[in-house]
Amino acid sequence: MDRLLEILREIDDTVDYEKETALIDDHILDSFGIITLIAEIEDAFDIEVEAAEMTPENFNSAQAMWRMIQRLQES
Amino acid sequence: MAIYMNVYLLLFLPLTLLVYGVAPREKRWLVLLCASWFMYATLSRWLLLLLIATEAWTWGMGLWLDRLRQQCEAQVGELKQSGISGAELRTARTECRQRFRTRRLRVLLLGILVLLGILFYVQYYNFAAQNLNSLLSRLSLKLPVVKVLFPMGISFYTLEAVGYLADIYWERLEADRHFGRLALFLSFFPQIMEGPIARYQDTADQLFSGEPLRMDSLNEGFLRILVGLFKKMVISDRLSYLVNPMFAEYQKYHGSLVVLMAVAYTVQLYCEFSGSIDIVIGSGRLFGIELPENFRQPFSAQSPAEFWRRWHMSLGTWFKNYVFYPVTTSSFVKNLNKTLRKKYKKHGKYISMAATSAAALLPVWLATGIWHGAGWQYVFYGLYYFVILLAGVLLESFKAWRNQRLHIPENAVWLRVLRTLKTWVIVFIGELFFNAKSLLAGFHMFFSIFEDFHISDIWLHLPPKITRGEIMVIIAGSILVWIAGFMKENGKDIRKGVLEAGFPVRWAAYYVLIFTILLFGAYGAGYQAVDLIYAGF
Amino acid sequence: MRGSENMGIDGNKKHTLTGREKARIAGFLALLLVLIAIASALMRPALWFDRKLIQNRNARAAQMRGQAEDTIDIMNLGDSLSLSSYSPVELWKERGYTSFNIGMDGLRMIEAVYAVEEACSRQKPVCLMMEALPLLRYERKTEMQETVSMPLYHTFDFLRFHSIWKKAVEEPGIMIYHRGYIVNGKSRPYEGPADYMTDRPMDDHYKTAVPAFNRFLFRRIHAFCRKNGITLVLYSAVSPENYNLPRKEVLEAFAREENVPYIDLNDYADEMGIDWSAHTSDGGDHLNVYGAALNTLFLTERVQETTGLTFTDHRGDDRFRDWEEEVPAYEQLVEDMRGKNFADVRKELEKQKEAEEKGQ
Repeated sequence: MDRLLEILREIDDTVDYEKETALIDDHILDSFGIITLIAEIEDAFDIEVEAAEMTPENFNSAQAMWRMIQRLQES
Repeated sequence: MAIYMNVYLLLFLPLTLLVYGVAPREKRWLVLLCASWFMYATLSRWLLLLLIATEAWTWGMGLWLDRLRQQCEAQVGELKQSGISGAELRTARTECRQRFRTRRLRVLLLGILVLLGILFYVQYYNFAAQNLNSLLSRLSLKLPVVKVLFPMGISFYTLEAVGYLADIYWERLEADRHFGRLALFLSFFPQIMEGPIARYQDTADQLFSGEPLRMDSLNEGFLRILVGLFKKMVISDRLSYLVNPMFAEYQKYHGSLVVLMAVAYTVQLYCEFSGSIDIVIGSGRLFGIELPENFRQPFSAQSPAEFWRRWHMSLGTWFKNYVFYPVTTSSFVKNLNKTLRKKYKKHGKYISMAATSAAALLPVWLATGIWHGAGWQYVFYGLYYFVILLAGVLLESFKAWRNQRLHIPENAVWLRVLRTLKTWVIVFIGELFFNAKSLLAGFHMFFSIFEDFHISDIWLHLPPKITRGEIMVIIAGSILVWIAGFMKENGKDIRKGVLEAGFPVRWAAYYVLIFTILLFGAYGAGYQAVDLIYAGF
Repeated sequence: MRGSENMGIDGNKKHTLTGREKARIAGFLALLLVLIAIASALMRPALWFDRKLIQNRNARAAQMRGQAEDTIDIMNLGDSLSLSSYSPVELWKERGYTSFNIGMDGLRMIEAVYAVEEACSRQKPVCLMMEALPLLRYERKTEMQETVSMPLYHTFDFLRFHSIWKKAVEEPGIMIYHRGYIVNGKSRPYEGPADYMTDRPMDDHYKTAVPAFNRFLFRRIHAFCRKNGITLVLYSAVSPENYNLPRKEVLEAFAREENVPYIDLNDYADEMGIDWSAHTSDGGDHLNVYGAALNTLFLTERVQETTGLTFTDHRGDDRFRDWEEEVPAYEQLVEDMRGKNFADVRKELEKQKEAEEKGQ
């Protein structure tokens, strides 16, 4: 989780990721932020994020992203 | 019958509403579906059969995809019970899933290719044939140019159907077993001509559930339709008497008049498109249905990228979900990203971001361009925004650096105004090309802006139909629309205020709006019914 | 109580419409109709026409309303072909018969039905001459739209004449209507074949068959005429641009089936003395005022011959003094409009204005 927050802060350090729950819906993370983010988390957690995962629900909060990462690591 | 026509507003819609209200709840979806198919038949006659066939195809392919998923699960379940364990089970499971994934992907591609194939055939075949013919002319090969009948709304329902299949493939959705529900989702009558492009998850259940008519949603829908009619009949239809003749004889105009053409067309397109969408969403609201929004005060945008998040939003969302994300998560783009990062240690992030952005944006904007029509001006329109948006992404860090160095506060009012104006200029130029007869005409118009520029020209040389009175109404109407948008942007929603007011205030507001439309609407003697701009796409 | 008063968005009201709410909707619509009716009662089309404030497709209907009751014996119905080829003042001058052009540019059959019924509400014409081209004009979408619009326009003047506000901020029009006729002195010769009633192809603006819907509307007009003792005559105006043999055959057959006399003036272009180098304003589409003068008398005579009708010469009758008084103004206008139409006049005026502005 800390590693994820670190990655997120690297993309934009003005956001409070532990509280924010509408990163996508409020356009805090834009499409390009997401591209960078995916590249980073794929590297960091050795997972593959596929198109099927690209939903607002998976990226709206750091918590949700963490859940997705764990799920992908398991399978 | 189109949604702005009196046949629709005064007969079809009230009648459908009445039948819907009287019908038993479990039959209401049938009322909506029959009404939708009936309306489609008035628009495109026997091409209704093509619509129904498309719906059946989408329904069948969805079921097939779902069946494969179930088979896959069943086989994985069998593996679990078969007694193998640990790493062996894991590889067997992965292998099984992989096998089904390939099969499901093939089914998805088949489904999508047929849907897009029809769209491409009716929309782009002649364009492609003509361009190929000029290339192949030396080889004395010739593709025949055929007269293709255009099924109304095909660009809209095709995208909805593709999205539906993709979502099933991605397992975000279970395929609909009920043909009627899927068919209604794809052919709901207010949406069929101009969108908004909905996702199955957003509207299918609402449409099917047969909610009873309620006073609050009737009020919302009614007011929304009136607002749409105001934009369309008072402003946009009237502006067409300025825009159409000027664009038809664009060679005659230069300098300030071309600027006027660009601005006038943008205002016309906005009032026409967002006004029609108001009628669409309002119509849905009457039945208690919540359709997705398509516009969010686009002219308050601070950048072209933000403009596109506020303008034709349902199309933007579609492209983001079904083109942009699949491309960015494709192995090609991912590998590109990783390679570049490794190769350029120092600026790796920046370079890879630029490259992946370009790789992901190009297909999106190329597709957005040609989705609007077959013509090089539309290709240009897409590429125009591709370049501008890419530049926006690339300059982001430079801007932040500049603002920091020069101590420019990010949210200074003058900076916001400046950004908004810059966005407007970019939009105006884009729409000038968008409405050009051809790409050549677009360039001709664009460059003639810089010839002989005199502000005073605007008041002379206007098409004869556009008299002083017409101009006054256009300007007053546009200002009203802009003020309403500005207030909404700042948290004061006039429409909501009217709906929350007591009934005398609300009635008064309705009557004022109705009489404004009846008095100042561009209808009747001296005006002709003006066709929808977006229905042709 | 407060709750049921407030019909705004409060979300938790899931019930279906109550009787009270239904009554409220009905009340809203009823009041709306009353308000529109009141606004309609305030409209003064005849007066506005005289002040040149109505110069669009409604102009002739508005002028008609200003005609003294029961003074028009012949009604000429049709689109621009009929409007440009028939001059009532010319007919009065030569024969003393009273006639009126009740058509519209691009007349649709549904508009024709309402135009006849409205014109005859205050007039008792002897004869209705109908130009046949509108029978071939049909476009599904427009017909649908107009079929819904017409009863509304004809119930509520407010809807029909709503754009009158424009004239409050603009100058009055310049066009002059003589009992529905607009003088056009422009001349552009027709250079096609002299014998144009052949199989030559025509553009597809018009059908080469009478659509069922148009036939149905025609029968409505026919029935109305029978009921009111009006003799209905179908005719085709001379126009190489709009008529060929197939169209003529369609209309001939139609007239036979509907049991109305049909006169095709294209057969008589020579006999009435049409000179294609001088009598058309736009290369064989419409007649100019010189062609109209010939056509008016010829058509009227043919109608009398075909139907056996006799029209009354009202010259000298005091009730028709305004007709007599109109003649010199008309003749002066024909003189003034030599070689031009009102679009040219407007351009001249604009140039004058521009010159004045530059001079200042």
